[in-house]
Amino acid sequence: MAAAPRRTVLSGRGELVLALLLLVLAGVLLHGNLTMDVVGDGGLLGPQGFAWLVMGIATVVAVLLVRAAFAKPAEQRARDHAASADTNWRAVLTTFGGLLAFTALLETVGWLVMATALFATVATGLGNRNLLRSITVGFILASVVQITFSGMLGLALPSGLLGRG
Amino acid sequence: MDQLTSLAGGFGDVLTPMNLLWVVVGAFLGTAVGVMPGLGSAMAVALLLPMTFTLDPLAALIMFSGIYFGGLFGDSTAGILMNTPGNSTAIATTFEGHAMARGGRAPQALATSAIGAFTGSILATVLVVFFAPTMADLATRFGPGEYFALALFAFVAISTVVSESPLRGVAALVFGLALALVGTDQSTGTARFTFDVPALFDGISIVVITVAVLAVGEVLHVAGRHGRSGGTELIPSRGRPWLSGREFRRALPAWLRGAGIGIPFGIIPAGGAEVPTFLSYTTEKQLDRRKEEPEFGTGAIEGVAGPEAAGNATAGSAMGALLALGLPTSATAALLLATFQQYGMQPGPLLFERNGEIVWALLAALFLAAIVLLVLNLPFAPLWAKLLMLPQSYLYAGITVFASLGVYATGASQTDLVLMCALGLLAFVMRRNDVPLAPVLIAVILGPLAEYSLRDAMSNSGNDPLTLVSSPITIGLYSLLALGVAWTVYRRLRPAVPATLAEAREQEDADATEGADSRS
Repeated sequence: MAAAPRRTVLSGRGELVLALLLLVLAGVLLHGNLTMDVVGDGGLLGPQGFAWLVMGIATVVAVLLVRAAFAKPAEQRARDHAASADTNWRAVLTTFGGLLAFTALLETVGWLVMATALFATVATGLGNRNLLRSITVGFILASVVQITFSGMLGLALPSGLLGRG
Repeated sequence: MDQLTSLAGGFGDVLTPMNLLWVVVGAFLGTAVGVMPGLGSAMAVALLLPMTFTLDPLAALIMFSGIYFGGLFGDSTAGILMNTPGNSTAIATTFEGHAMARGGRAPQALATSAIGAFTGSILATVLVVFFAPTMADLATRFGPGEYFALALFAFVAISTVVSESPLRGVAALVFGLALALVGTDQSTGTARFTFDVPALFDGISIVVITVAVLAVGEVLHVAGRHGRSGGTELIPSRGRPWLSGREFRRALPAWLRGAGIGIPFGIIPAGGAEVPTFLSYTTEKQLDRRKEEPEFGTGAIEGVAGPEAAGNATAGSAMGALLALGLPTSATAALLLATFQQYGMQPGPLLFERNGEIVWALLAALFLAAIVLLVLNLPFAPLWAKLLMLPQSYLYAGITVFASLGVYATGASQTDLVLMCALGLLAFVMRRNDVPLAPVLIAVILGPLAEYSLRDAMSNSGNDPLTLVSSPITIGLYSLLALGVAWTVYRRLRPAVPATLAEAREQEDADATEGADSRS
């Protein structure tokens, strides 16, 4: 690594992200349980009992993770920080962006176009510079899938723009 | 000898040209995904599951039996030739396997590993054939209390005993349990955590969760590591893969020992074959130390034979636990369970009675798959290694496309794709923080079993919590669990043993390098 990574109170404490996610989860469970429209008599635990239990464990684990994050030795923290700073965020965001676009547009634009786009986006995100070839390979793959799965196995894939045109 | 008659019937069902084709297709696909780094049989089954909707149940299960073992046959190829194990189950094989390859014995290492995987698979499947019906008989006496104990056992074992950090294991478990809660409550019909989205009323499909967590999470993880890790070099495997008589005589006991170590682990819900492969490796190393000229570090054939047999033996007996108890002990087994459920069959004590034909055909298919895999892998391992030449960008782009296809095909619903993105991101965050993913899948699969059996046990006994520990089976399970936890605590308090697999691996790499240096 060229430059020493920036250090803040949060760096090298990835556990905090995890703890936050667990607390969000506990919050969702709490909200769901309180607003639940319980039908009939579910007995002692009912439909909510297990969710209360999971919520409790989530909260306890979150608290323990926060404690572990702050009790971590400096040496371990530096190592964790170096490992997490060493991430190719551009590649992650490109790939994830491709997935989001696929999710949003599949049903309107159709399988052939979106699957080709997804393939090309991920290939480019993972450092393939030859965009034209990625698109070609992606298109061939998408077509083969369309023919085998839609044509032969009877899976419905949205045809989108190409279907209407 | 009822089992043999039934098994013969099973072979009769499988030995049709079409079904044999499915065995070969499964073995082929399984080896291919096994060879690819980072892909395992769980992911292969998850991606293919939606595509088998149009197949008949037997064809789908036969194909999956090939994939099931195939992933474990293929994973050592990359480990031996490139020092990058295709899967965590091949790490133990890689130490000595790669050392053998560097010493110019790559074909022998590949052959040892293929025969090892074959031996483990066959021995474990034979035991399943003989003991699964007995296990199933025993399991018919299981009530809700016993099932709750089994599920709890699985949760604790996978999240704390096997996991490197119990806290992270439990965190993963919690995510899985919460995902399993979504949907309509089976006993009251109450809509739970559905946020009024109709697509969630039936719960979140296991396919969506598996594909998102394993495939999408893996792609994002690889993207994050892209351009950051060092390149690897492929050692060409030249020459004939035959073992000399002396090599065979050395490998044979190691194969058998490996299988012996692996088989019991299949029945324990401990997340698959990683632990037994390491145990077998350690055993072989200890035995090697007693020799006049220890060979470990310089490419000892036993170090390849043992772990490889152990890995496949675990997979084989895990199939027994799945069929007889309905208890998935690994992620792949969990997906096979989902496959059964997709066709309206419930693995467990009653499966042998209700769907006996399919079960015996599946067991017969497992034998055939092992044989087909040996044929595919023994002479052709160097050809499979050519798959590693595929550009990484195309490989992962292809996986992403297939993942999205699989998820969309499950329900033709955009909601599933949104869930895939969200859960893929969650898996990415988890992997960055060294949180194991297997507990998520085990929790999703066994969460409902745990919940409903607990509720049933309570309502059957008039809310008496003592009903949970009222039978010898439950007491036995809880005692075993307590022992496991005690052992974990004891192990953690003794830092002399390498605490993590990664550390063990680094140490072995260092040993191997020393060995190579001293030879030259």
